[in-house]
Amino acid sequence: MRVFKTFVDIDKEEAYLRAMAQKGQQLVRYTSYGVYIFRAAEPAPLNYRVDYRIFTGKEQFEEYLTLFADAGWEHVCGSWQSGSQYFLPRPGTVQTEDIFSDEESRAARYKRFGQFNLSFALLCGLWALALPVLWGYISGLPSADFHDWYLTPELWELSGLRFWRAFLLETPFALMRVGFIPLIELVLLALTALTGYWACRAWWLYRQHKRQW
Amino acid sequence: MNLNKLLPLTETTFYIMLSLLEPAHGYIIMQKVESLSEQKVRIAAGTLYGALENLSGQKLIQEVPNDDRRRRVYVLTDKGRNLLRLEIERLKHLVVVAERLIPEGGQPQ
Repeated sequence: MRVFKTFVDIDKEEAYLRAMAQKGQQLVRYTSYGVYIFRAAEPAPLNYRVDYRIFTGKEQFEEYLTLFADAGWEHVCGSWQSGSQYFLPRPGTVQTEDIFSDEESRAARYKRFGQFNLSFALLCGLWALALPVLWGYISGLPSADFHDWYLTPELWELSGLRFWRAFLLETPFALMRVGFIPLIELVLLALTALTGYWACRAWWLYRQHKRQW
Repeated sequence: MNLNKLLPLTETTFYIMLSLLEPAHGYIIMQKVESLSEQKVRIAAGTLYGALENLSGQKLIQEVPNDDRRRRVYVLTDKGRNLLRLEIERLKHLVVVAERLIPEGGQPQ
C-alpha cells in the first residue's frame, strides 16, 4: 500500500507508523517525495523511532548505522542523504525505549530538519529571484514580457469575444514556446514557499520542545 | 576559549567524557556509562551520536585511528581533561558548601 503524507512533527510521524503497524501495515520504505510504502502483515505493536540526519558521506552513515545496530536498533529505511532515518528494536535484544535518552537530543531533530529546509528554501528563493533577471540576458530565450509570447498580429488590440477566442487558441502554442521558463519559476516559487513553511514549523516545534528541558 | 563557558556539564556529557579517558567506540561508551553510573544513566544511540559529534566539534574528544572502519574510536583530549578537572572542582565546591549547611544525618547549623 502506498500513502502520500508529509510530517514536520516527527513525534506524530512515529505515532502514525506505530498505529499503521497495529492495523497490520508495516513500513517498507519512505520515498523522500512523501510516499510511504507499506506491506500487509500481522498487526503488531512495533516501536518505530525516527531520526533526522543528513550525512556528509557514506562512511559516516555506515558508522552511524553500526552504532545503532550495536545498541539493538535495526535500520528500516533511509539513505545517507534522505534525512529521515527509520528504526525498529531488533527482536531478542535489549535496547532503550527510545533512540534518544534526553529531551535536548530529541528536540535537536527539529533543529536539523529546520536548518535543512531553510537552506533549501533560500537556495530555491535565490534562483526564483535570479531567473527573471537572467532571462533578459540569455540570448535566444523569449522575452520576459508575456505580450511578446504571442505571434498573432494585433492580438492585444482585439477586444471582447474575438480577443478571448484568439487568446485561448494561441495560448497553448505560446506556452509551448516559452512555457518551460515560467514553469520552472512556478516550481521554484512553490518549493520556496513549501520548504520555508516547513522550516518555520520545525523551528516552532523546536522552541516548544526546548521549553521542556 | 574560556573553558568555564562550557560548564556545567550535563550528567550525560560528564559520563561520556569520563568513559573516554581511554579510547573507546560508541557501544563501549554506552556500556561504560552504564557501569560507571551504576545503571543510573543509560544513553540511547541517537543521543550518544549527537553528543560525540558535539564533543569532537568542541575538540574535547578526538578520533583515534583504528582498523574497524565501521566504528569510530574516540579519546579525551587535553582540553577535555582540563574541562573535566574544572567541572570536578565546581562540583566539589558545591558539595563542600552544601555539606556545611546541611550535614549528613545532623542538624542544619
